[in-house]
Amino acid sequence: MITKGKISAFQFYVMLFLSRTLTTVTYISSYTKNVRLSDMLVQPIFRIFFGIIIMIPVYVLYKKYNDKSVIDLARERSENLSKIISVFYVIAFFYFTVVTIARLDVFTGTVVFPETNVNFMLVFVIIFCCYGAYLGFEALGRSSVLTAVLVIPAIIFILCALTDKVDLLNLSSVFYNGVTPVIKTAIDSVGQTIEYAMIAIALPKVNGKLTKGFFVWLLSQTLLMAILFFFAGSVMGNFAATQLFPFHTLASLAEFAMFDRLDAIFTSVWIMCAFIKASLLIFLQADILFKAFPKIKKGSYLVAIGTVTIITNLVIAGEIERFSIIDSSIIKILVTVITVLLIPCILLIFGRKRSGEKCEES
Amino acid sequence: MRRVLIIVLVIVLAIFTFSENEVYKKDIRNRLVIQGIGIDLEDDGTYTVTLQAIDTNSSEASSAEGASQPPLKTYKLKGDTVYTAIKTVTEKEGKIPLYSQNRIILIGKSITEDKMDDVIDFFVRDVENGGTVYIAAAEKTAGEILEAKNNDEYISAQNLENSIKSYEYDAKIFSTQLYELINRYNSGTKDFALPLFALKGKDKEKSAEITGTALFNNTKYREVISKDETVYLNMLSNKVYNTAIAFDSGKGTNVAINVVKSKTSRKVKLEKSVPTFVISVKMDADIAEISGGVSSVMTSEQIEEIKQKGEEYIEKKIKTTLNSMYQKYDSDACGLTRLLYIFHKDFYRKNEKNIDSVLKNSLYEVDVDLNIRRVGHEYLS
Repeated sequence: MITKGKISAFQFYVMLFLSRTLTTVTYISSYTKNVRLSDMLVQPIFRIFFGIIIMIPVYVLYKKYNDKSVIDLARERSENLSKIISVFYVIAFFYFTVVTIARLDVFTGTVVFPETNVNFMLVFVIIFCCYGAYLGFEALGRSSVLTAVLVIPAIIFILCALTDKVDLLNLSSVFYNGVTPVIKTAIDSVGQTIEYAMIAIALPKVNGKLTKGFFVWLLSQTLLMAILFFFAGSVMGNFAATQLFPFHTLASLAEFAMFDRLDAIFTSVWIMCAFIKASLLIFLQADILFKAFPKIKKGSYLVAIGTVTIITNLVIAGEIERFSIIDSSIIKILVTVITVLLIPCILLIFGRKRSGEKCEES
Repeated sequence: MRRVLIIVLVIVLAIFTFSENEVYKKDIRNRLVIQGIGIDLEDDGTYTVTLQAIDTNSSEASSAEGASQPPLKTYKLKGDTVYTAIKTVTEKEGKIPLYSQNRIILIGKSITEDKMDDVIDFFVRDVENGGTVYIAAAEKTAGEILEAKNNDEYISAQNLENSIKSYEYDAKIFSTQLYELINRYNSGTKDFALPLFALKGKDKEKSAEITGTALFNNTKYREVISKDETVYLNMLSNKVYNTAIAFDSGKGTNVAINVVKSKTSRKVKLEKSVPTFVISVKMDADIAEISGGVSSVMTSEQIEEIKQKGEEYIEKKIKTTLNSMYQKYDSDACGLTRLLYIFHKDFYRKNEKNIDSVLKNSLYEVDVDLNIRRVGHEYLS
């Protein structure tokens, strides 16, 4: 595995932006039954609030022990503790890698090539993602910026092509079914954001203004989410609720001059974002494992992670029921809470004790 | 690592290339490219689906002769559901239907009267059916339209689609795409409107024409309104892009205007539990024709007079159309219920089940602001 210097905060947050964009554009409407699309316009406000709350422990750790990830801090306390925590993070990132690829499988198998076995494509994607992870963090950072240059104009183009189909009467009044379902959805949305855990782990690999970048990232991806939901709601109305992937359907409705069926562009956006997200997750898994168990080569870890991911995804592939079990909101929230809130909180408490010990020693 | 990756890629590519993959089975040569689907209900409760598809077997010959449209073939299929009926085409033709190129779904009268709910699910559930496909109703059977010939050529689904698409140039045609229909389906009233096709002519000189707009109440066909009334239905639905309107100038001459821009704003206010719908139409139009001899130089007063007459005429027509929809046929085809749903949700929830009578007893205020933009080969004196 190629390991060189750090990447800039800009590259890092662009990478996370693309990673979160994938989660947004693969929104599955059946997960938010009691929430109308209009509510999804205000949901991001709650989402920002919960996003900031959940990141407080990581932020405090970052301010207190600059340049150290949660695993580095655990290692300073105890080697065994760091190994246990490392395994937690690897499982978390592995789980989200599997979910990312599984969503791609459902999308490809349902919308792009229905009734066709897409297992070969899954294998290909995972191999390419492993290769992306092999190239290292810097390469991923650079390719993210290039990908963003393609992805952002593509999304803007699709949305511009939809402007004449916007009908505000398709939107309902907000909080139609009360505030509670909206808050639940916001929590669910935060739970689906594994990028918070990525920040906790990848901090030492990033140069620049991380705090400012975090807020720009949080606001930009929330804004993108709100804009996409606005277009989905105002163009499709209740039709969106009947579609498995409403944003893909939205793109298929877009027409611009002689061009129609812009869902092809949307599909390419999806695949590019999936590549960045899965590569980053696989890279972080291999990196954490290598630091925890350095006797084995990083390349071997990559091969092992790739193989296990392929096998797991092939087991899940092809059946919507298996996918719905693995893509459970509760599991995702649990994973995010453990990796972003619980572990950093524990380290914060242990870290304080250690500071106390040091004071006594001095 | 790079070598390992290359070896793995070569192996996967080899397996992919030489295996019996389903991708190849679904090659375009093995697909039946559907252009139009017509659905009718038989007396025994089964469905007859008429497919119009591109005849790929004779495509080379016809294109060489410079045919105006791709060679078409129709299939009459029967089944207990729409899907099972369409599936039987594979037995006949040995090809798998490809729905993504479908241009129109034509619903026969037997279905529109009562069975819309039973046939629409397939088109939403199947991912190949795009949300942009046009839906239309047939005056009699959908099959007779898709099977009809003009000079030995089928009346193509493409022509039917083009007829509907002409709403962009002439608001006498109402258009409904699948996503719009389903949006209405899930919006409480299930009232909507579809363009109505009828077969005209005899023997080899048949043609399919849009004769008006079919209004639906709670998914059931109620009545058809004329193409002239359709202009005002489109106006109420904020779907007028271009249209011609003729009215009496009040001086024994007829004035024709070409509407080039129209924007309708719809609001609702609730007073003593009676909704009042306030409909404001702002439009830009050019004077296209004034009957009664060669035109003379126009004055600002004359234009103002035409503007006033035009506004009065359009207001009257909109009110007549509203009357037809809400008083006669109980059809909220222009979706005013949505305003109650959004802005007076408690009132809507309370009256959800008797919304037809609420709309019937509602008040409607119409205001038209007509702006005469151009007067043609003229100048003002």
